[in-house]
Amino acid sequence: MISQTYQWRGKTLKLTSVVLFSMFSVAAHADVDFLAFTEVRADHVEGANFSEKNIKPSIDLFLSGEFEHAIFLIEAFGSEDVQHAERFQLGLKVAESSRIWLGRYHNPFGYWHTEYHHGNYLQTSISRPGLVDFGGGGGIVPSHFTGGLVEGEIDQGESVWHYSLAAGMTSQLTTGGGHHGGGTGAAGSSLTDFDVFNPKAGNHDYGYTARLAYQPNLLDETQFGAFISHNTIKTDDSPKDEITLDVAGIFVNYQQEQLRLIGEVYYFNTEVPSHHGGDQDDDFIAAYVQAEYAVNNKWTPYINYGDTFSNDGNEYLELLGNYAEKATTVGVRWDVFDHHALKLEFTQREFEHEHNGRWLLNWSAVWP
Amino acid sequence: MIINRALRLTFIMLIFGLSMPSVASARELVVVSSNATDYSPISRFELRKLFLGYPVKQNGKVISAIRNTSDDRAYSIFLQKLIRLSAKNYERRLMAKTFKTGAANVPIADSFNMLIDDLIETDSALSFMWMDEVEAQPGVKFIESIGDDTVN
Repeated sequence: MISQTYQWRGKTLKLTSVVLFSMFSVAAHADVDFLAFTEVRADHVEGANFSEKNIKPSIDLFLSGEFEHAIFLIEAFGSEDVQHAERFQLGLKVAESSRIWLGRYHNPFGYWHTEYHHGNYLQTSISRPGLVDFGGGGGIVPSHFTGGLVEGEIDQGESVWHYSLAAGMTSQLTTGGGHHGGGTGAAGSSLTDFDVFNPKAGNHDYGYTARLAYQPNLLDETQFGAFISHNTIKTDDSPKDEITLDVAGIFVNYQQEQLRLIGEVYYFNTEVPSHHGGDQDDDFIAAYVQAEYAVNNKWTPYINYGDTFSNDGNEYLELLGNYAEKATTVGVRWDVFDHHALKLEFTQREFEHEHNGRWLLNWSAVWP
Repeated sequence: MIINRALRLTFIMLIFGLSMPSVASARELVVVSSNATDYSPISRFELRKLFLGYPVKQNGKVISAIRNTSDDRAYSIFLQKLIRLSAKNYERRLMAKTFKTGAANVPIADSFNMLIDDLIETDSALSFMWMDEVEAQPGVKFIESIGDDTVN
């Protein structure tokens, strides 16, 4: 326990040092933005014991900047369980509205995953919908790529198109996951992304994603769009076997005064090597919808419902035992004062072989 | 009759008295730039776009914006009449955009002198201040009106 704590502190210190060193190195020459997101989260799964281990503090440090046409973006996440360089990107601004990046970045699929990541303060709810959860939290789409990314915006009068083209090393399927987002603790594999500070390129194959979103009015937040993503996923227990994952999805974020609706529907095609020989070629659909209503500047209740369809016997989902195939969340966010929020939510979840209710309470903030 | 006249006079004086201070104290909030710029009129949409952190070009030059937070009342009128978002939602949107894309946030000037220095030094930036402040500052000029200080 003590050595784990020292290890955690050591890694956090290392990540913090990288961010701070980068910050001070470039601050004198570039326009720099720095944000620190802090969170303390308490979780309780019904029927399980509650102890101090259920209270988890975490910090997410973000730094971005530009010097003439050169741009960079660094994000480091640290908690007791996991320490990651979440994003580590160097790039070029090729025009005012388009950027080319190299490094580790968010796989640009869907709405939620491109809009929010760490930095829990920014999203209304505490938890992410199962469909867009992180690999270790039971997510079923790779969260990060390490490679190249082209992204930008094309204005058309008051409307704007957002595009992203990404290609790089995708996740590996590792056994005994369950970190980074809090799974059930149930046995199962999880998707693990390429680690730039501990590179094991041989464990990862390649993937690509193309995404297009349309915002009818640049100044409003309503948008809708679609994406496709192809991933060849290596597994750690049988490195020669690879899973092929194809995802196509549509998404919408609709905002009308205090009301906000988010919805995403993804179609999955999976090819999983079978232990009995050959591949299982299967498909299924997963979706969620979230409704939020800002009663006033302080209080925002929300509800989220997610479900998975035609997934009986799908071997890809059977491998990812921490994925909640069906979930209903109700919660409330209280913006206590500037840049600080308290949130409480309850989720009823159904997994492949079990179901449970989970309470989450968190305080999230952003600095400065 | 005399009572009626007196009443009418009192009423007129009351109306006059009530309206005079508001006319006298209504300040106009305006968009400003350094005197060195030669911007053609900028639409309301472009101004909102600029202060939400999106690039706006004029004459081949990218214009930037500076948020003037040195005056609470001016910032509040700016949010109500131009941005049309609460301070919390405006700041969250700017922050989310930077966090998502790495794009530079709209910089802040939290003192009036700093704002004037930044505007003059960065000759492609726009910000906002009261019209009477513009008239007293030789280094900056009026670009566009945002509105009067009439919203409570």
